[in-house]
Amino acid sequence: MTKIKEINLTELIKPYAKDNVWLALNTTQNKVLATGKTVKEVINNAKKVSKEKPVIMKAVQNYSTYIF
Amino acid sequence: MKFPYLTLPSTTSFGRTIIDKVPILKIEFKDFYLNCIIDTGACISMMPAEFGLEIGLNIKRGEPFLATGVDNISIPSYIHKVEFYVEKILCKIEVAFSEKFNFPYGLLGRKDFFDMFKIHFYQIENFFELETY
Repeated sequence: MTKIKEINLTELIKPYAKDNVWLALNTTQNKVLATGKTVKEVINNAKKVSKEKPVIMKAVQNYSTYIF
Repeated sequence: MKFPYLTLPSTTSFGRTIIDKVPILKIEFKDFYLNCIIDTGACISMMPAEFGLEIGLNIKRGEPFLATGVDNISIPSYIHKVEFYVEKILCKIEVAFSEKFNFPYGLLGRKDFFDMFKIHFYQIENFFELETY
């Protein structure tokens, strides 16, 4: 079986977690391209620094609290 | 198509990690990807209203829907038909958008999305798989 490459965002997210900002990651999700307080802002900020289509998610301190 | 679980910061304020592996899928819109959790417990997909605005929707023109979470509090949302890609596969699914939905990612629920794909979870092996019908 082909091994699936692990994506561990723990260390990448930590510096931003207390600010609860939106993150724009690169496509392979190993680099933060930009941050923003709103979705619009983070997308616009990412466009300024990269031609790559950003991957958007929010930085939080603990992702295991989310149950809907 | 196989995708890795994402490992995310998950230590509680009591110092315990409940689970740090999350089945998150990167879905592709015109100008951005959005990370979304695959949620078998959710009847419909949900996203923060901000993302609806970014893809050009007039949120409040959608079909009104009250989404109720574990705390039994209903949040107002509006359902729209939305198109995005998973890899090269075009998905057309209903998504409820809400200003009160404050998850750090989108949520892919059962309606429509689970009709498009067989979804296999291999948590201990750290990946999940989508298979088209």
